Amino acid sequence: MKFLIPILSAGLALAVPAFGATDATAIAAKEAPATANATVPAPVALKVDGPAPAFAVKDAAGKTHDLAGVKGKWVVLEWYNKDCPYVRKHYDSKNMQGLQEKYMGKGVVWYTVISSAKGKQGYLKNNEVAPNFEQEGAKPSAVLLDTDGVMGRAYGAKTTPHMFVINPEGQVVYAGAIDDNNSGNPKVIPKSKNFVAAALDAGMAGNPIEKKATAAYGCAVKYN
Amino acid sequence: MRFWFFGLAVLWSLWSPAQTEIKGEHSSLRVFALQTQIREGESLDVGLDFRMDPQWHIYWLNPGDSGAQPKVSPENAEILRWDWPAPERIPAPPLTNYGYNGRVVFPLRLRPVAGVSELALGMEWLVCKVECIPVFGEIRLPVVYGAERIELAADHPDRRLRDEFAARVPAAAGGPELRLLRVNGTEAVFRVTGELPREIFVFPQEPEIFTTQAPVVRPEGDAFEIVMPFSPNRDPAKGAALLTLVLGGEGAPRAYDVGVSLKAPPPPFGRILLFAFLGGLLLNLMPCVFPVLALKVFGILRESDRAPASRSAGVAGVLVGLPTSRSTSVRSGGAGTAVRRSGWQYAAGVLVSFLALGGALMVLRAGGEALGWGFQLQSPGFVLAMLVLFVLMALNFAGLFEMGTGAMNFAGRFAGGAGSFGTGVLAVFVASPCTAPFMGSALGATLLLPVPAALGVFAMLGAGLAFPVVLVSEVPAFGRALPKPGAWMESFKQFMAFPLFATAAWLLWVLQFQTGPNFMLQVLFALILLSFAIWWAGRVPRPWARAFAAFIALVALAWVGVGVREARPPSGVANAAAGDAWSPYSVALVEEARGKTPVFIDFTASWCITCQVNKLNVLNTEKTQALFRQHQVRLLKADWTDRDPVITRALAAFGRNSVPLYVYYSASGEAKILPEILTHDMIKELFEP
Repeated sequence: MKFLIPILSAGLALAVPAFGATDATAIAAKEAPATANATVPAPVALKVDGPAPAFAVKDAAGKTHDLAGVKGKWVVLEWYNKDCPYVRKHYDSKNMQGLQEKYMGKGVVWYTVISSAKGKQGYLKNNEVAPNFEQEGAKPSAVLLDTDGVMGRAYGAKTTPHMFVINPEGQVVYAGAIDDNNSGNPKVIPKSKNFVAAALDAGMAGNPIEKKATAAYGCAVKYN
Repeated sequence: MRFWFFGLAVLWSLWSPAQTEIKGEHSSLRVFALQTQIREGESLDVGLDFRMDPQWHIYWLNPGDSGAQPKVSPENAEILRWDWPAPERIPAPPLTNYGYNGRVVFPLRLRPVAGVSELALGMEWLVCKVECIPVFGEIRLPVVYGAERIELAADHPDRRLRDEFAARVPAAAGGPELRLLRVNGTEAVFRVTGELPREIFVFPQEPEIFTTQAPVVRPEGDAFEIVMPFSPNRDPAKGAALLTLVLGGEGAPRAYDVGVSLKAPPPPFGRILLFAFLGGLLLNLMPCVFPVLALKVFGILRESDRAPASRSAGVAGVLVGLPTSRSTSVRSGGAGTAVRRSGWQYAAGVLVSFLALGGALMVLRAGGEALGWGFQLQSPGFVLAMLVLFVLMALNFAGLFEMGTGAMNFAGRFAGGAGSFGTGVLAVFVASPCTAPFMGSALGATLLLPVPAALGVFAMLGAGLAFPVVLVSEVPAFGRALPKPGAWMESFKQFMAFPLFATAAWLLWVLQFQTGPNFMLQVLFALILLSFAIWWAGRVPRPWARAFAAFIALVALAWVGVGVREARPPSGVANAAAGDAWSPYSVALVEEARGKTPVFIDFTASWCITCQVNKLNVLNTEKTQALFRQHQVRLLKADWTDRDPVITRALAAFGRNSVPLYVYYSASGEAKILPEILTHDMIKELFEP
């Protein structure tokens, strides 16, 4: 029994406070009101398979577009800067417009986002937006004017064009480059593997997405 | 003759002018050869000489957050080698690029297609200040063949220029060795022996493994450590990376290419097994096992009552929960054998359950479930069953009903009748949600080990848990050390009902997080009904009364048994267990706070008693909380009471699959794992420099 006594007393000493009903309820009561007050600040690093950061950004007409408003739909976010050579690569070749048309035809919501700060390259005034995209021959669901860069930073958008695909459950399922060739030459497009199209095709068919994250290429986003 | 040659040369230059320069906006490229003549089939060394306007830059092999490296597409040659001088960090807040300002020369080695007298190289590069300009063009470089290879003179400006930049190309060998110290979901820490150089720059050669954030470098005794933050979307399958290191000190900086491993080598298998055994052994001292101790001690009472003559052997025997239905009374002579047999039966029960639980865990994980150790307690049905069992055992100990009286001896059976094997099984099922010291890392190792080795770890855990009991049953001297049986034992038996009730209280508390407070009332009434049925059946020994009692018991069990499948906590209840100071864990919160403020993460579950003990003794005490407040520590609580793949993954990132786990990130973002049993001093030490 000499052998047992230390074990028993040690066990009791440790166990009694843990078992004690009063203490346990005390914790529960004390801790109950926590979640209501917890504020979750915007994340700085976006993780694929995680929830897409919320956003609420106005277009040129002053209409606010937010993530909640397109819940249940596939969403593509495309970072745009009209003077970036890599954006030109995909617009002058009509590659981007083709993608927009094809997938918007399948019900995808396509947001073109401009995070260029006022006075920086790629910034567009409200009245310049419509003529610019008319000239591009592009008809995205909306052009979001993220002039303060809040949405761009929330998504960790680094380049133009940086691409994101969000599934109907609101999770980011693809983040990165538009394709696998970071040349500025539009001639390489036909031979490149388009990651956005691959992610949408696989995801919308209910298949697993092969490449979920790649290193984005292009010009740096011109944040303020 | 000479004239003829000259004429041909003039003709040649008119017909196909060599084009060795491309002028673009803000940048230009000149290509030069380092051999004036080569033999047919040999390689040719060239230099790509880029000049950029002030503040304009081109990019390295890994351009960093944006940009693109220069590209060469040879039409009639093969690139054998392209040397990249070490780059510099080019900040473009909030982004960072790797590249070259002003001027850079890339040494290239090409093999022209046989007989080609002029190399045609398609060129493309991106030059940026804030805006970027892509430049395209073609270089046409004549190749002269002859009987010997003629190098450019050593004092030729092109040779000197090329040598100057070749000296900045990282050496493939001779660099410092970066030993992976530890790795988790967010960073890798490398240790380098030797004095910290005056300057050190680290450039990852591939994008999307590490972020472009400058790594933290700090001296550590006679060595230094490099902390490299991972890119959030890094492919975890990538087990290695290539880095370019630039070390500055006396003289010119030296650059090296260094390969690093990103997968922590598993500790030696022998050590894992030893840790498993020690962990299992220490589990006996953990509060989790305490309820089972009550069962074992109860065996003492029964056996000493029955066989006072053979006390020494008998007492030791029942310590292990001897199979003590009336038929197996221990008589002198046979006692020693019975004791031993029961000790081994207990051990077998422990081992089989450890292997079964471990095996089930691995099968379920292979099936894609994100589960970890203690997963059975994440099921409310299991918790409910345990709760009923413990209430029945407690009532029996308290004397509400006697063992072996007809219909209600099933609870007693479990405690004693079904034998030591059953006690062993129960010990594992109750004890397994808690991790003892040493146990966490041993369990974590099973995530990486092949199946037979992982089962070996589970077996060693079981061996450790069963060891003291086997020891007592095998060594008669232990039995003789026990006190004499007497009337005190009846009181002791009744006393033992209280720890069992306490266990039931704990299980009820766990169940409340899993099913919500409304279901609690239903469970409590069902337990009262069940107790009433058992009491009634014992008091009124008539067949109709027993049938009535059995009916009530069944109704009560069915009532909660069905209810538990439907009951869900009102939303937020599971997380509401976080106190004022604790915020619910999320990956985003950790990444947001890390490197800015200190962060303490408590990986816990309400079914984990060790976790509750640590909370009451340390974490939630005013003393410790004051310390946290003083150092402005962000407190996060990862509650694993219910299944949660996010938390399972977070645990796995630390090489664990069990709770408790305590992780502290210092303000500089460095991670530290604390032991399973906390003390206030351990927390205090975190803040001492």
